[in-house]
Amino acid sequence: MDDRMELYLAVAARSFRRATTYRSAYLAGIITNAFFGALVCFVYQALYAGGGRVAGLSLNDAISYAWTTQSLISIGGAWIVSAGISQSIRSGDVITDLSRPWSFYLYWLSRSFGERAFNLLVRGALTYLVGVLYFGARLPAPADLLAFLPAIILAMQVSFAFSFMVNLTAFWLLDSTGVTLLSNVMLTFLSGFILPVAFFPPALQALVHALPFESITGLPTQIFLGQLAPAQIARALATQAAWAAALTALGLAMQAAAMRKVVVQGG
Amino acid sequence: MALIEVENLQKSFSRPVRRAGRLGALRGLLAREYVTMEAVAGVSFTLEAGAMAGYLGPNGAGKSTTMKMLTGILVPSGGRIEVGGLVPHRQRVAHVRRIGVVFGQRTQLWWDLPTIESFELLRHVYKIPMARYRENLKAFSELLELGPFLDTPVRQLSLGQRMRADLAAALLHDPAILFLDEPTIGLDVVARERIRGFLSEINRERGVTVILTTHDLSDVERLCQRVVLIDHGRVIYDGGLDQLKTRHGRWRTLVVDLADASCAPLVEMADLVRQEGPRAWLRFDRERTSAAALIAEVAARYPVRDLTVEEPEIEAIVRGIYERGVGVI
Repeated sequence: MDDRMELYLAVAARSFRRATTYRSAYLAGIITNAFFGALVCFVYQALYAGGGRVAGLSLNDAISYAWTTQSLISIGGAWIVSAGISQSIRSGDVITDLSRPWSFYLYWLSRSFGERAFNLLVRGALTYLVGVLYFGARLPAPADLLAFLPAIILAMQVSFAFSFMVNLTAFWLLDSTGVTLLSNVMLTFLSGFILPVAFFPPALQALVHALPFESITGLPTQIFLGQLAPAQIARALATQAAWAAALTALGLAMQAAAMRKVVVQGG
Repeated sequence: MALIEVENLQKSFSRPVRRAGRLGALRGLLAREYVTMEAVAGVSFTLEAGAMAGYLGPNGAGKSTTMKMLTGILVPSGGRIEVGGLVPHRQRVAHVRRIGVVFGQRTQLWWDLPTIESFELLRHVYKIPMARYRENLKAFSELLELGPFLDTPVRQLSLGQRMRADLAAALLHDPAILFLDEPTIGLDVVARERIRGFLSEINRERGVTVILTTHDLSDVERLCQRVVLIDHGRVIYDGGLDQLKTRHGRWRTLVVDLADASCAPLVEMADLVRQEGPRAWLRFDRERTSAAALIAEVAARYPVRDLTVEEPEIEAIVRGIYERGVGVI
């Protein structure tokens, strides 16, 4: 699509740096995520008071799961991030971005990855550290961490591709707030963010497996915590890759349609 | 061949009609009716390389729409457009490499990062050779005095500083043509003057062709030899600014600040069009009365504290053209 790796790395680097400039914002983010992480843990501690396992998960499994998903919020694990695109559409700044000699899609993708890399490595890691220190959330085994790396990159790609489409609806709807809210509801429940998918009734589980959202949160979390066997990990990564490819293709088609609309109607 | 050739350029938009009344919105959803609006209705002009031209008109005349077509963002509904041998909307990428664009009300800089970061990014975007980039950055920093705020995040810049940074950003890749949409909007006199000085410098020294839209005539007076005036999507004047003013900008206004607010300055050679407290606006015809004669007359009769002569606004010139008929151009 575009051979300009250097440019997109430069974009990602700036986006990463931009994220570092909002120190109070990410500190507040960590506190919020840790607060909800703690809250969920108290619920689990009460529910697991009798001991044993629920749907194959021990208390420690459930607690670790809760902290992992909280840590993944800022990379898109629970709702739409990258709202910058729809803002630029509303303000009209998108005009400048669309008329640059670059791929509009890759530009936003690299912006998103730069920001999410920061969020994962700083915000997410610190949030998880709170869970490890105060609630005994499990530290991942090296092998699982190795598998987590491609999983989280694919998760970010699926999340970006989905967010990109949601943001792009602003070209037609002028305001993508409604679609974003609806998407957030689907994401929080169907990604396995609120509860492990294993806790869902079978029919709901089947639905979740047929949708892309699990690729964003549920699958990378299970890989991170070593809850999947090697064969299952391979299948999870393949599922993520398939969704990443499909949603990217859809997003590009949508971008082409938006471009046609803008150049014909003036946005 | 001219650098910019525009022939019978048209752009019409269809917009859904909004119906009034309680059921209007509902009916609008069920059966949309569209109305066609002709934003640009057959504009033709050519511009030679190295020129600096003003593209003027009142609000809603079709200036920005034409600019968007020239920069390749909008596809024309009809007519022909060619910039440096390229059709902007068809050869967009090749085209945008050769042009610089500044929309006065928008910025292309990264809001949260130091100004220099956006420049660095543009170096990657346009693959500007390092040596050339450094040279340009140095030259623009001197001309626009960017030095003091290169390391300041864009969100903390004043409007004037941001505008200067945006201008530099648009020129780093040595574009042949610079498109400016309202480059001085909202700026104070000092900031405006600095930007005008910069624009004439890059036009003269670097041979950058500049086309700017504005509705501030003083921009044009300072910068442009050539003026294309449009209204309702049509060219109503194309030529030198001086002729435009002498032919159509007859009416000027003398603003008088009186020492005594109670008297109304009445003189034969001008009409009192407005008075607010001690300030009075006198409209006069430059073909019949010179500003000097009028000032002498007013000063002789009334105690005057201050005087300024206001040049006609674009709206007044447009009105003047209609009063005399478009045919006389």
